[in-house]
Amino acid sequence: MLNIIFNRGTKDIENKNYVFSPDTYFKYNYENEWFDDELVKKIIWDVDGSTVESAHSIDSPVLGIIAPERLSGGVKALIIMYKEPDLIVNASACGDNCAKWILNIGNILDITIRLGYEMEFEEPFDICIKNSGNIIHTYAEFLKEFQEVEIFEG
Amino acid sequence: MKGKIRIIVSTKRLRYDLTLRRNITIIQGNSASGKTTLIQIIADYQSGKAGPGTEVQCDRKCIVLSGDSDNAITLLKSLSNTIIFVDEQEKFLYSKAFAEAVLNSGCYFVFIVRDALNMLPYSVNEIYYFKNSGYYQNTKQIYNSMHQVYPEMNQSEKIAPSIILTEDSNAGHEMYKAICKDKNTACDTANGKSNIAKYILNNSEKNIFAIVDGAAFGADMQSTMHALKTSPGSYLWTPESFEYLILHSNIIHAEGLNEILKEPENFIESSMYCSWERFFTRLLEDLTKNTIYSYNKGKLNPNYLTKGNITKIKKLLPKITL
Repeated sequence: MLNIIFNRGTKDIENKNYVFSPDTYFKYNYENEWFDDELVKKIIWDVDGSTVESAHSIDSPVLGIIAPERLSGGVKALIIMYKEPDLIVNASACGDNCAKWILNIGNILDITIRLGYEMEFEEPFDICIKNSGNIIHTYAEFLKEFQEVEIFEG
Repeated sequence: MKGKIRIIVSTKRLRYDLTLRRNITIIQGNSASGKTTLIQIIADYQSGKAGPGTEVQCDRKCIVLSGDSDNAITLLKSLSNTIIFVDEQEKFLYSKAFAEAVLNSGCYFVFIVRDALNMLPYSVNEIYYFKNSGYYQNTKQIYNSMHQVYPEMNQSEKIAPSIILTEDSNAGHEMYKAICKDKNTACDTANGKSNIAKYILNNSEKNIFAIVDGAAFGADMQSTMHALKTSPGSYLWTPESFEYLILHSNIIHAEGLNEILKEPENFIESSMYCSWERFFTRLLEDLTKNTIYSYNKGKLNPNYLTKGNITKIKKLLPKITL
């Protein structure tokens, strides 16, 4: 199931498994085998429009042949969510075009993500909002839950 | 710093064209739209590592601010007349200390961020996304142009609100209350701009016409636009500010005022005014000092509430039926 921790304002979440910058975490921790996974290949194709040729060579329509470090921040965050589900990934690194993949990964695995904006999740979904403990099923509920979270400005 | 600033960033493969009009510009959008790449190109160019073929064309210095909070804020405080880019992966971007340094700076800022920066008063008009517009003029460069996330919408139908909603109970609220007097429309306040979205969500069955100061509503825009989708009869209007409306309304006459209103960016010094809202308030206060229209934001001078003046403000509203 997909679990979301809403986080608004200046105070970030404190948890040793929290990944504030998926981009940086990915750079030092990705594994070559991850790129053999069909779901990873699909995500890279769908979000970045890039084709995985190997773990060392990804064909990007914009950047040419690139290494995994140059994938988009959103794709890196999605791959970490999927490959290291014990981590809490900062999903604000993902745009709305990643929402369907976050739901998809949440259907396969139990994951928890941190989110600081109202990503456009398409219904139907089951999402547990960790701030309140509520399980929500509609986007209207999602928006209301987000508005209930205090904006920390300390 | 003031005025419109154009920045062209190019490599053999990519070309970005940005125009900045105010001290704070936000770039958001889908993953893989080239936001972080832009930052990397500017950082490499700035450090002299990019080599031939990479260019950052701008008549001001462009830098990328990164690293630990103390160093970044110290560097920021030493800069002036500079365009400063910050990516969402910099922790200091979300800190109070950084927000305070930005508010006191004379630089222009480009923040690449999806989360709202609630402590900064940025405009709804200066939130952009990049659109890949194909190849640039027969070159191999993919052209990324900037587009407003919230462009002004053409309103085709008349709005019939049951409530006019304002951010707070200041002068603007008093004017809208006077406009609603003896009509079938109530005038309410959300008690703070960050409550507008919540108010709409909690009253989604009503037809709400929310009026906010667009010059400083950027951080709340995304939440409000999402809330409006749950309330089909509701509408959001984002004039720069109430003071801007008064200045536009012909209630006040002053030499040079039209030129200022036409291109405010040429007159608003960012080191003095952290948002256009502050500038228009100050301008109105200065223009009306020691006159019958002496302006006070906290309490509207009753001379603005004559039938003629109410009509002048009403004329500036979108098409609504009260």
